[in-house]
Amino acid sequence: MNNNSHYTDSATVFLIFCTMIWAIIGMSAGAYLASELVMPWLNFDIAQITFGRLRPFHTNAVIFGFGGSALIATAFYSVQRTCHVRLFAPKLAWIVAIGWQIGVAVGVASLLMGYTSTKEYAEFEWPVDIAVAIVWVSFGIVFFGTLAIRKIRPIYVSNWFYGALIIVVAMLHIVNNLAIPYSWFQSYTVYEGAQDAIVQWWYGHNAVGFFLTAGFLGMFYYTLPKQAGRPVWSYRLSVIAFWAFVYTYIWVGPHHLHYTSIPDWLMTAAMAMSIILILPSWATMLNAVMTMSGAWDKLRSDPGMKFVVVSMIFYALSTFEGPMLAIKSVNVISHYTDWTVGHVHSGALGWNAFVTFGTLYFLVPKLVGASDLYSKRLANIHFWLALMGVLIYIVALWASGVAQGIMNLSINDYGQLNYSFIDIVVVTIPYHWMRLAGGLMFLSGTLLMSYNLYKTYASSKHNLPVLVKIPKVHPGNEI
Amino acid sequence: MIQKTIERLVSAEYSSAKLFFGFSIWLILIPPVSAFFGMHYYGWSLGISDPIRLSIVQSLSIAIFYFLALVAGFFITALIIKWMSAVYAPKATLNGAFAVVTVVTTPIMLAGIAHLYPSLLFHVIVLPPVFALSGYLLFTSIPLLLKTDYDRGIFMGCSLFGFISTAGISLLGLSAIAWVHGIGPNLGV
Repeated sequence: MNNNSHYTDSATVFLIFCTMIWAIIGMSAGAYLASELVMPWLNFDIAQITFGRLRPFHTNAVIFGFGGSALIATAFYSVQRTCHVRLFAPKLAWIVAIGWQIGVAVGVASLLMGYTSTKEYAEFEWPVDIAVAIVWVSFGIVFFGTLAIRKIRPIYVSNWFYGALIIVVAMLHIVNNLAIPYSWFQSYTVYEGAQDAIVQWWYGHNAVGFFLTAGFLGMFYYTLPKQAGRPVWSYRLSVIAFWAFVYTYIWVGPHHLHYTSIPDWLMTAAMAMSIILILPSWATMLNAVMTMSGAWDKLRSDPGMKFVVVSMIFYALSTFEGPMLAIKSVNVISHYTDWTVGHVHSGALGWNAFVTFGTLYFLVPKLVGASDLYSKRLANIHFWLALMGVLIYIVALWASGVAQGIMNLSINDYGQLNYSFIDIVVVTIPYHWMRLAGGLMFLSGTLLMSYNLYKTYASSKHNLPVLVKIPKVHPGNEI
Repeated sequence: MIQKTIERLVSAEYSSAKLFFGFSIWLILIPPVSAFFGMHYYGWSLGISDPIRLSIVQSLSIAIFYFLALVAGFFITALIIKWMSAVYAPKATLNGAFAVVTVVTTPIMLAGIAHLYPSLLFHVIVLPPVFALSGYLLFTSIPLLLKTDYDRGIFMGCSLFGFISTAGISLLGLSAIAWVHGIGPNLGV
């Protein structure tokens, strides 16, 4: 058998397995943190599981472990199908798949041990940063190498988004983590004061933009037309939205620093660009809605489709709420409150996790050669658990955030604060119980999904490896 | 029972004006009027210390703003439904769009009476089941009132859910802007 006549998906299967493991680890850590907020004694005075250490463990595990593994898996899968070639350097792809797991695992373990650069979402210390950078550049070599040897002339839009993910995240990661080491495990950042803050949030928000949005839009642009059995409604709109998205997003980071010591014009520019960002985001949403239109029967027959449809609703909601929170008059209320945390989770759970779940329900049966999922009923239960969970979660944090925002700023006739910090903490307790309930529902759904996918794999593993022949390219599109 | 009630509405003679002025406008009055009395006489309770009582002028201005926002929201939602129907329900009429908004908003407007006791926690506990009922009404009423099939109705319901949630978020954002500009609690900004 000629290897070059078939796609290679073994690294993708491994990465999907890791995606589910990270989902369980990261989301369990999130639920434990939510428990600690209402039952602080749950840290048992063990330093490694105090809120301050477990929180970055949770964020890094879900963003880079769960999200990163899913992105690399789907990029490897879709770039082959959209280029009509086998992966460039399949062995390097395996090194990327394993290297990413080791990098993230060592990174999150070091956070529990107390080694942190203290930069949010970039807490890993310098040795891990270097390892992650090497793995990421290798990912770029595999991805762009595959594009370079493609047999089909057009570069499909999902690859534009994955490409932006790889290039921009490499740039953000390297620039933001420039540091001077003073020991094997610790370092000083090269930036000072307000500049440090600006670089950090240039990184921080573009990690949201290019890791959690561009990457997942790549996943989405491949999966949705496949699931719906229809082409993208407007390919031109998708490419225009891509360039508008890339140009606009890169400016918005300083909206995380409203009313701080950075220049005022920078805050205003970030606010303006954040509002403009609604246009490309909603153009993508419109394109998705119109692509789905016509695939009316799929909601009944394909459990993954439900997740993708709902992910678009949350995408629309979060990409509207984000710019709104970037308006200074709203931000003065919402910043440093649970409103922001609720917003992040409506995006991370409602958009990122839902589109990933929808994609995995679609891909796993194909990858393991199963005719269908082990149980559509379990997938439907997962859908309702996840949807109810995320709604309870964000409603609780909206209420909590608004209360916190008003109480933070409320003054009496003498200009003194009406509420102390502990007053505000007491008020938020009932909402944090609701948040815990919502989080546990979401986690239960993820556990059901893992079981369902495992059983799908177990019942068809005799089919492995599934060999998919590379189809011929239409002569008009050949390179 | 709910389905039969909606079916009765489908077969009834109604117009947008009759639905709005004969029914919805009175329901829309419930939340702002309740909010006015609640804010002025009891005060917003965040769960600790004394409730934040607003003056009669502030309570009245918020209630009027709230009423206008609800009326605008009602009309805009009906027009959005008519606009969306080009894709999801080609046989839908503007009357049908008004009927959907009327059906969906009825429980929410009735629940507006909760504003008489403006405790944030009380609202968070009481309102979600009402919103869940409205969600059910949304998905049930679309196929019947807009004369489309069940599957398209689900897609349209999801799109409308997205629009309504975004409108809700906008209201929260506009409220925050109003508070910062002196309408509402006394904030040091």
